[in-house]
Amino acid sequence: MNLKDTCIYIVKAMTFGLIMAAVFLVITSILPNHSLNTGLSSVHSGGAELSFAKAVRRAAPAVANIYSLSIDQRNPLNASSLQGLGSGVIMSKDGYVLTNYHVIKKADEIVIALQDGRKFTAEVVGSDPVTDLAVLKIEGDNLPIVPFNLNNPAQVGDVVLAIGNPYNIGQTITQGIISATGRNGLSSGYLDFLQTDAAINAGNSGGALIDTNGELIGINTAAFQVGGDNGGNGISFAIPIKLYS
Amino acid sequence: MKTKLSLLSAALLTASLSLYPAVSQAAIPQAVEGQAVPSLAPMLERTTPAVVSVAVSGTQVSKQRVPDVFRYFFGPNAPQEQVQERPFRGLGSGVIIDAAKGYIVTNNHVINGADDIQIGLHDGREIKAKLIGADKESDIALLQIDAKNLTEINQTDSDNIRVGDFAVAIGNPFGLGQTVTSGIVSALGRSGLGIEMLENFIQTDAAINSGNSGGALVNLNGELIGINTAIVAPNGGNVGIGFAIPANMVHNLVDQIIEHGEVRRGVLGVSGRDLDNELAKAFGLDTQHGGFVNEVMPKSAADKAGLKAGDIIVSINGRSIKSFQELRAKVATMGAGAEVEFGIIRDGDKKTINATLGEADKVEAEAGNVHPMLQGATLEDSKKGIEITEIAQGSPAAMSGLQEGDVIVGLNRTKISSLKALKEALEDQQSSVALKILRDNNLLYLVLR
Repeated sequence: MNLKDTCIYIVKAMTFGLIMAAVFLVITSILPNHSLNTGLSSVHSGGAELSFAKAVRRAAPAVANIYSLSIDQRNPLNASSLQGLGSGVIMSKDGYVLTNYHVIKKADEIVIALQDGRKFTAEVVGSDPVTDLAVLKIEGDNLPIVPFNLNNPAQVGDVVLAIGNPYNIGQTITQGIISATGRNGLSSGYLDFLQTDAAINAGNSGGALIDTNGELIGINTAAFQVGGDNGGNGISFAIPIKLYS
Repeated sequence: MKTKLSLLSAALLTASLSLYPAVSQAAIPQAVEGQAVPSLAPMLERTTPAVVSVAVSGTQVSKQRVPDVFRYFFGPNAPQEQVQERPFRGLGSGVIIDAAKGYIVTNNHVINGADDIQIGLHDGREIKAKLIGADKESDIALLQIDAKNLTEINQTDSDNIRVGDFAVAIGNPFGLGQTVTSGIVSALGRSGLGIEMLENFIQTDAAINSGNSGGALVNLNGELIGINTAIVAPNGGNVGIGFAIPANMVHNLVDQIIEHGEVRRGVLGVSGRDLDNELAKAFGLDTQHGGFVNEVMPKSAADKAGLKAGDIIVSINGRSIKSFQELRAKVATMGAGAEVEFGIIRDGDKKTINATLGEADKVEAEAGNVHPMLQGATLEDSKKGIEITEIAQGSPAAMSGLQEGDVIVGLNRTKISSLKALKEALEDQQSSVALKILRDNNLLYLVLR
């Protein structure tokens, strides 16, 4: 009997509680000040990143400017002329630099300029025209390297930052999202490009595409612009980092 | 006892059941799958009324030489020059920086040569604006309108922004009407682009197009960080590379324009170059960025403050600088008389030096800017005219026959009493000019070619 009484009391209490809860809910949804907490304030309080400055600080020093110079065949004594302009990413402490093949092809001499002002002459370790990747090597102490994580593939909608040296105006960070992954059939049909709407222009080629943690997810390539030389139209491509290795 | 228990459990249930859905309900519009979805709308509602459109009209006067063929037909009395007047219209943007006084900042290139400036406010009002002053070299102009109920933009210290911060551009691209675009700060202290004489730009990838000029670049709090001014545009439109003049530089210029009606450029009196890798190596320095001082002009602000050739200027008022150009732009826009603290490296040691900037109009060393043939002369305003206080041997000024102690009193047939007037008079002169000079109480003419 005692058990039955207890059960009844509990059921009663629950019913009462549910009614009260329902009333409370209706009232709170009518109250206007609950909707005030949306919008910008969520940017401040919601824990979302207010700035990409941290990510930039992690990755930007490891993105170098690349100048490929060629010596005039007919007049070899002449000063070598600038043949290609691009960017490159320092991958390891021992000086391996990843860039686009098209940035350094036909180059007789490759100069790599770091953000701290140091300049190096680089050697080509290997290159692959099909994937448009090339690995260079420089000799230097205390080289900044880019953090990367091969187990964290980019997804459509991820916020990304492109770092490079467009038109040789100096290091530039642009922001966008991953617009598509697995794009292929653009040139060789061999690659699965990442597509992004971050502004990528001539000179960004070989530069880094990073996520909001500052980790490398791709190598930007401005060579496959849709509609010729029209940079910045919101359709740019990057080679996913998993192709490296 | 049991009633108490039931009440207690009822209250508990009420609390637990009602609290949970209340939280999730408030969070729904803020999040997609647990991640916050920010909107700039609340900030923009407060900020956009402070950004206006600027419509200008005027007449462009272009002079053309009449071709010799026509002169043949018209005889010797034919006009030498054909003056063409073409009406022009232009569109840009502006930012209200003082609602009470109606001050609006825009780019000089938006209003340059305009006879009529109309401001279009966010609420639809159209008001004629008065030009208070402009600075060509930094591309800033100050306008004023007489209107009530204006909204001014919020201010902040633009030196605190970092690469990677969000940036929002507000303006009037292509005359479409007010447009908001977003991006991030792509780079800071950008100079050497050859767009303006004095460059120290914030670079952004927020879309900026023709008509955005003079508009606002704001942070996520709606505070002004820059005035959008220029873009790199290989195809004529935005490619994600835009440039804005930092708000702090704008404020310095605007303060001077309000006070004097013009910008009184601050002069330090050094010449130099960027500190680069080779130079740093040669001097055995750790630092790779800064302005290297080649030469300190005698009697200049730098000289008085104790700067020396070979010093490397690495910071201004505690903010590090990257290049000599940045130093130049910052110093020139700080205004004459400004007290500035320079961080320098001398013989490997860090030091700070305080200087009071000189005024550009009292040129003491840069006479070469006035006229190439005056190079090497040190000019100073005096009671009689413009006195040559010093002259370098073998310099162009000495070669044209000028001597120390000469006083320039006229140019061609015009009387000249100040350096400023001499500068203005020489601007219109293309070929050779005759300087009227007072030497030992004798008047004579010297011809500069």
